[in-house]
This record gives sequence, structure tokens and C-alpha cells, in this order.
Amino acid sequence: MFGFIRKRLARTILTVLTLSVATVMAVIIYLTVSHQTKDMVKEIVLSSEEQARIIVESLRYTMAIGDSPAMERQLLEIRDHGGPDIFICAYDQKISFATEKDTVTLPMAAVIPDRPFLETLDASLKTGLQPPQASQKNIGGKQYITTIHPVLNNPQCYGCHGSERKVLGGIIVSKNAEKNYGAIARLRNKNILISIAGLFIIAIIIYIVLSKLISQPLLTFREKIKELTLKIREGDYSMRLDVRHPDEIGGLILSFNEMAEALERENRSLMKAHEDIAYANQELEAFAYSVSHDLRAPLRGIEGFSKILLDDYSQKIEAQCQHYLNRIRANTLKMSSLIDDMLTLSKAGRTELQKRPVDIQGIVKNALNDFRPEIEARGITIAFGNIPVLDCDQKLMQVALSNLISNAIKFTRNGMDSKIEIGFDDEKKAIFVRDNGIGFDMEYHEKIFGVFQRLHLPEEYEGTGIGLAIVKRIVERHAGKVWAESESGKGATFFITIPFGG
Amino acid sequence: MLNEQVTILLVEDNPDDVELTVRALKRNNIANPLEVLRDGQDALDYLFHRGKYANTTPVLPGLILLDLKLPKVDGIEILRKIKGDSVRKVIPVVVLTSSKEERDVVESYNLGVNSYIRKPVDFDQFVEIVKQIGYYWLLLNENPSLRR
Repeated sequence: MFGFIRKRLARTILTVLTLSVATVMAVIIYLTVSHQTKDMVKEIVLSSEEQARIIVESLRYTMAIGDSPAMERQLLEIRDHGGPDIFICAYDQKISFATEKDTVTLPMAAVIPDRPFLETLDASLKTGLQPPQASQKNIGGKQYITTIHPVLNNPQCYGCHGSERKVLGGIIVSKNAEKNYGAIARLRNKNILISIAGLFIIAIIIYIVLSKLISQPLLTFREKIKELTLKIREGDYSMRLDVRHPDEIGGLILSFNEMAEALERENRSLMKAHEDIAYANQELEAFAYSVSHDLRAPLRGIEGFSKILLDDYSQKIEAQCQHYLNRIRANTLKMSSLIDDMLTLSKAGRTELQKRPVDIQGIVKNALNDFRPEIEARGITIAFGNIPVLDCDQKLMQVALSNLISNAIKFTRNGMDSKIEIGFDDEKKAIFVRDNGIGFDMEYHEKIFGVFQRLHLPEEYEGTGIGLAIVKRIVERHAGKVWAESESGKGATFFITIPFGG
Repeated sequence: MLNEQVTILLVEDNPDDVELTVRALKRNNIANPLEVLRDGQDALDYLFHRGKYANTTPVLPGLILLDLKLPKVDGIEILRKIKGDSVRKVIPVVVLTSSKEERDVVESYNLGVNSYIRKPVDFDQFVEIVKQIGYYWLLLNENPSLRR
């Protein structure tokens, strides 16, 4: 319901402020109006009392001369002039004269059946004291202001009334104040209406003024921040906002500027680091390129001429010499493999990953194809399970799997009924390559992934000692994991996990 | 057996590699005339009959064995010139080099190389490769440049 208000901070603040001001003003207006109304009522009561006193004084005079017809006339006259209802009662509250003639002889309780009033009247008739205040009564649905004036006995009256009673009776003046109250109510309603209208207008004015003071700057601020963040997102960190507000917004702008500055600094140092790395990488690239070209050339010479010596001069050189020449050739070829593997390892860490969904099964088939001569010659059993398509760099993954398969072939070489299983472990979510070869002691399971780490003598199992390091580097480039489980003499299983979609 | 009229051009700066290549050709009984050039500039001069080859009888080779790392002008540049020339582009060019760096392989094929072979360290393998090259490009393959 208040969603549209809460959508904007400024609007929320404005609404709360405006409502608060309006509430305070409404309370003030209420207090003022009710106070005013009370004053007016008081005034009416006072003027009624005044009127009653005047009337009573004139009646007392008539009473003193004991002229009953004159009294009746006087009362009629008051009635005809729209004056208040007047009842003159005896000490026993029985009405002797009244502006309404048909109430004569009735008890006061019949015309004003109000208990507190009757009690007050009773007390006044007993003591002869006039009650200090007029009473306002609702009689028959109409408002009356009623005053009681006791009539005391005095020597003038002794002739007719004797001297034993102190109070002869009372004059009750009851003024119908309905009209006055109506006027007051109308006036009050009018005041309230005008006040509400005024309040409304004032609230609107407050809202507009505050919105200029709060909302406008906030909106401008928001636009600027939007622009700043957009620029930063686009890689431009140079923009700064003008600080022109001495308030909290100014503080915020300052903070944003500081943040942008920190980002710019950070970005610059990152760029610098990136350039350095790019430069180092370029150097390494150039170095690797030279290595792959120039380090191999002398090896070709050594190997080639050794071979020529063996071919052309076999008759002239001794068998021992031929043996050494063959040792030279073997070492040359070893050196060549080492260079190749070192380059592959270096490349596995440097080249940019070309990730896409790769048919791992296809890769495995290719790798197996490369080793087919040995697989067929040795009659190795190959078990090949389903492997899901994975997001990875095809070339690197091919190298990794090929190395694992090559290892499996190598380390089953001295056993019977060699078997190699390649598949996907659903539980571990890992590609596995399992062999039933010589295995290794789990004590060394970390070591085998290190560069130049070997668990066997070179004459037992050939190899550069780099193969598994290459596998590890490739898998880690993919944020994956590689590990091995084995038991000496009982084969080994290598696992590779690569995060899906990563 | 082989078409012995055509010249083989070997562009190779390393004297050891030159000697080993000559030896491999001989072992495979490939007796075609062999022109050996040691740097890239010489190779271009020879192929385009200019510089010190301006006054010789123009002969176009029937097969070029090209190393990539060469003094002055590298092999990729020579390949670009050959394959960019309307006459010489039909000459089969076999890149015979030390590395199989991705960018070299890709660049060579983009320029239209006919084969890309990495010289193996194992001499027996090298002899076998030279044999394959000779048989394929000089005997089996029909090439317009050989008929002229």
C-alpha cells in the first residue's frame, strides 16, 4: 500500500515530516477550538445568569408588594417577549407562579425531573443560600441553563407569611439555550473545516518546500552516482563528483569520490601488474620458442652423426665403442623427450584455456589409438565406460588423459593379463583411469605429481618424470582436482574432476 | 624411378642438418639435383632470379624443403612470397623444422604450405620421413610445376 512512498527515500522522509507537522497542527487546532467553545459556553452561562438576576430583582419587587395579578402579568409579559421559563415555588417546591400557567400547583420535580437539580434546589430552600453556579441541564432533549434564587422571609412579608420560616420559596429561571448552543456548534464546525482546509494547504506547501530541500538534491545525487558507477563499470575510474553540499549528501559524495580514487589506484596497480605479467609471459613464450627450436638442433646432430658412425664404421670400431655410441643415442633421445615434456608443462601453465563442451570419450579413443601397437601386441584388455561431455580445453585434456593412459600401459608392462579401465565415477564425479599394474605405496601419492619425481629406476620404467606434473597442471588450470589411489602391487587408479560448467 | 629432372631446393642454415638431410636423401636413393641455400635472402634471390642469381639460367625447383628459423629472412616470409606469387605458388613446399609450435603450424597452413614436418631427433625416423616426402612429392603426386 505504501510501496510508492517507500520506493524513494526522499519521499519517505517528506511524507513522515509532513504527517508529523500535520499531526501537531491538528492537535493544536483541536485544543484551540475546544477551548474557544468552552469560553463561549461560559459566556452564555454568564449572560444567562445576568439576565436571570435582573428578572429576579424585578419579580422580588412585585413579590414584596404582594400583588399576585401583577406578578402573573409580569410573567406573561416575560413569556411573550421570549424570555426564559420562570417558576416561583414555595418552600415545599410546589409551583405558585410560572410563565407556563398550566404548571402552577405542580411540584418542581414535574417540570425539571433532574435529581441533582432538585437536590440543589432543596438545599437552597433550606439554607436560603443561592447556588454559586447556574446548572446546565438537558430536559426533554433541549439544553437549559437554570439558576435558583431563594426568596428569604423578611419583615415586609411577615404580614402574609408570618415570621417563623426563614425561606419562603424560590425563583427558578430556566433559559432554553438550544439556539446558543447550536450557534456555537456551527461556529465550531466552521472553524474545524477552515482549519482542516488550511492544514491541507499548509501540508502541501511543506511537502513542496521540503521536496525542494531534500528530494531534489537526493535525486540529483542519485543521478550522479548512477553516472559514476556506470563509468566505473565501463572501466573509466577518472570521474569525480562535485562536492557542493555541506550536508550528509556532501559527505556521501566525498566518500564516493574517495572510493573512486581508491578503485582507480587499485586498478592502476593491477594494470601495472598485469602488464608485468604479460611482459614476463611474453619473455617466457619467446624463451620457450627458442628452446623448442634451438635446443633440439644439436641433439639431432649428436644423434644423427652417432648413427652414421654406427652405420658407416661398424667394421672399424670395437663392440664396446658401438655400445657407448648407442648409449649416447639413447641419452640424446631422452634429452629430446625431456625438452618436449618441459615445453608441454610450461605450455600447460601458460596457454589461454579454450573451453568448450568436449567429448571426453572421443579424446580417450584418440589416445588409445596412439598406443594401439603396444595394446594389441601385449593383448591389454581395455574397459571403456561412459564419460559425460565436459567443459574444458580439448587439447590440454587430451594431453592429460593421454599421459594417464600412457602411464597405465607402462606400469602394467611387467604383469600378466594387463587390464586398463577408463570411465566416469558417478559418486566421485570424476573421470578415472585404472590399471592392474605395479601400483605404488600411498605414502608417495602426493609426491608422484611433482616434477622429476620418480618411484622407479629409469631402467625399469622409462619416462621423464614430468608426465603426471603435466596432468596436475592441466587439471588445476581447469580448477579441478587430480589424485590417485593405489596399493603397492595391486594397480593404481587416477581420478580427475573438473567443475561442471566451469 | 623418381623424376630426376627436377631440382630439390633445401633451405637450411644449420650445416649439421644440411649434412644429415643430404645423407637421408642419399640413403633413400633420391638422386635429384639438390640446391642448398643457407639463408632466407639467398633463397628468395634464387627463387626470384635476382641478386647474385640474376644472371643464372632460371630454374624453378620441383620441391622445396624449408626450415623456418633462418638468417635475414625467415621461413614464414619465404613461404608467404612463394605462395603469393602466381607462378611459384604451385611448387610444393614442405616445412621441415625443429618445432611444432602452434603458431608456426597455423601460420604455415594459412599461407598454404603443402606439408609441415618436425625434424625428429631420432635419425632413423628422419631417414624414414625424407623417404616419405620424396616418394610422395616427387613420384606419386602429379604437379603442374614438374611438367614444364
